[in-house]
Amino acid sequence: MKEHRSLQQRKTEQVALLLVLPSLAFVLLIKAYPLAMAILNSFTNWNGLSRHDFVGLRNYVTLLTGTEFWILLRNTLVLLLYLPFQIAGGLIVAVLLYEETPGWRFFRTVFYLPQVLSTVVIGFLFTILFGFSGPVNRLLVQSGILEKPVEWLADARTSIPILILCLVWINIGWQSLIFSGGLSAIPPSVLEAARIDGAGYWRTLLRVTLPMLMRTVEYSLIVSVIWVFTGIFPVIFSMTKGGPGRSTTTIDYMIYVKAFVSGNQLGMACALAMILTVIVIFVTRLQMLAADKLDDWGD
Amino acid sequence: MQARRKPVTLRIIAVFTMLTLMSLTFLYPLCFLIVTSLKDKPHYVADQFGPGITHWSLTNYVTMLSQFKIVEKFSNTLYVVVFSLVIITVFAVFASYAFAKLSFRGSRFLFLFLLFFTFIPGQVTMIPMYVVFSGMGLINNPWSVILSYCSGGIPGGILLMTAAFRAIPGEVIESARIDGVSTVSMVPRIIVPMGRVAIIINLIMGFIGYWNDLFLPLLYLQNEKSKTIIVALAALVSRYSNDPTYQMAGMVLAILPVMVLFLSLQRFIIKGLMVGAIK
Repeated sequence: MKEHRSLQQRKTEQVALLLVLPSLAFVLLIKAYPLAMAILNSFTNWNGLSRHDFVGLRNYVTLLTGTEFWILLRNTLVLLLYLPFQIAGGLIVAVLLYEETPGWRFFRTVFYLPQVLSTVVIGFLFTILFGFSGPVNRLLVQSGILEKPVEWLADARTSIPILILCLVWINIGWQSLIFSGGLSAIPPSVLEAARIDGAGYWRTLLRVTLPMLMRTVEYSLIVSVIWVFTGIFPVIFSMTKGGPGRSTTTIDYMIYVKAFVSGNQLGMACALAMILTVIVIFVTRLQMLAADKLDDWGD
Repeated sequence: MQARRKPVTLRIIAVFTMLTLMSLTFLYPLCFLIVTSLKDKPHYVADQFGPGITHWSLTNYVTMLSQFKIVEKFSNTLYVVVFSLVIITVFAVFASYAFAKLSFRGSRFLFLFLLFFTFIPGQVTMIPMYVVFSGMGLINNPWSVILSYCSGGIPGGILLMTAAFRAIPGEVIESARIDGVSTVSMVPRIIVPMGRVAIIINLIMGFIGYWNDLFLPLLYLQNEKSKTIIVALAALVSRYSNDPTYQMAGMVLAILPVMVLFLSLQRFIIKGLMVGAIK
């Protein structure tokens, strides 16, 4: 009996491995192998053609001691300023939707729409709206607020706020949905208890609801920060192409430029991509630690 | 009772008004997009804000069909999206079943190994893969993009589906086994029907994500014949930068399929997202 059982178990193990194997093969060939190649090539002066020599840490030293990388990092960090607006806006929308007024499902759909639309299309739409002869300029000139039209996206002082506005516009619906999930996980008895204790609407919101949403905030922060570091390419591509100058070039956009647009600096692009990976892992770790601290304070 | 109802009504009106105002900031740009795409350039320049219903025409869309070969772009995109999703779903469903319901040596390690790669940004792997694909002659071939999507979509799908399949009661599987269902045929008989919500959510989100993606198709699909809709749109927008009405007709067409999908399945999508978000 025991013999038979272990035979059965061995057979199940073999089947299980066979079921996992195809997925594993995909990841090994198209993720693990290129990851290894990217690490190796980040130590070379590879230009995609003839040059492909080992140069040690030179790419990393060049990047970290030069000014360019820090400008790219600063640009990404500046764009993160959209996060407070996303969190606040998402919370307001979620709390309003929670009231379940007539048509709340319709509103929820409307707020979520930008998540479904291609980010590139949204970027182009914003570019046209804020274009030199676009509707925003026309409105402001006609109403006398501006004397003459402004090149919104050709000046870093205006292009960055517009990028931030666009990021908020894209993500408020997502954020409110995440908060709605968090709100629905709060047991009604807790809110009821607060009401019986005499807490009003605002007091309940600030003292009971908000603290119970901290986990949700933590989750959204991690997802959003990683998105800004690694997924903002279509926004930059469609709105500013990293300009004017390098004022809106983010790290992930620069990797694309270095590798595919100017100069075939493939080795350098790989080094930059590795730094990006380290940043992403570091940020995730940091935010998780910070969130644990917050929880301790909460107790 | 009567006295209590009144403030509630006021509150509902206040909330409703706020929601209406906020949703206008989302609806107006989209209406502007659609209305502008129906105008021609002279009318747009003359009156950007008016609806100008009397001047509406489908000229921009007709040009889009005839000159821009939009149907070809649609079918290119659909080819990439459908094959990616089929491969991802089949592979991820079988692997997730193994991780969730079969115990085997090294399963924990393999699971974490696969999950590790969901943390690696696409920017890292795209450069070496570009070299590999061009060596294999796969640049301008949709399979370069399909294979890349699969390598990211399979670990992502496994993460989602393993969690969902774990919730399938062991007794159901055990009684099916007693009825003579083999380990592999358990997947179509039990796992897929009972875990269908996770599978469908993964399909829908994948469809939206891959349809809208710019990055990989921009790198790997460069010639006119192989471009996906979003890449072709990017080229169109920069070529016709002085005619917003034409650009916007292209933009409307590019978002139309995903919009239709979303609006028809939205309740399902939103419920799925909320469930996923809490976990």
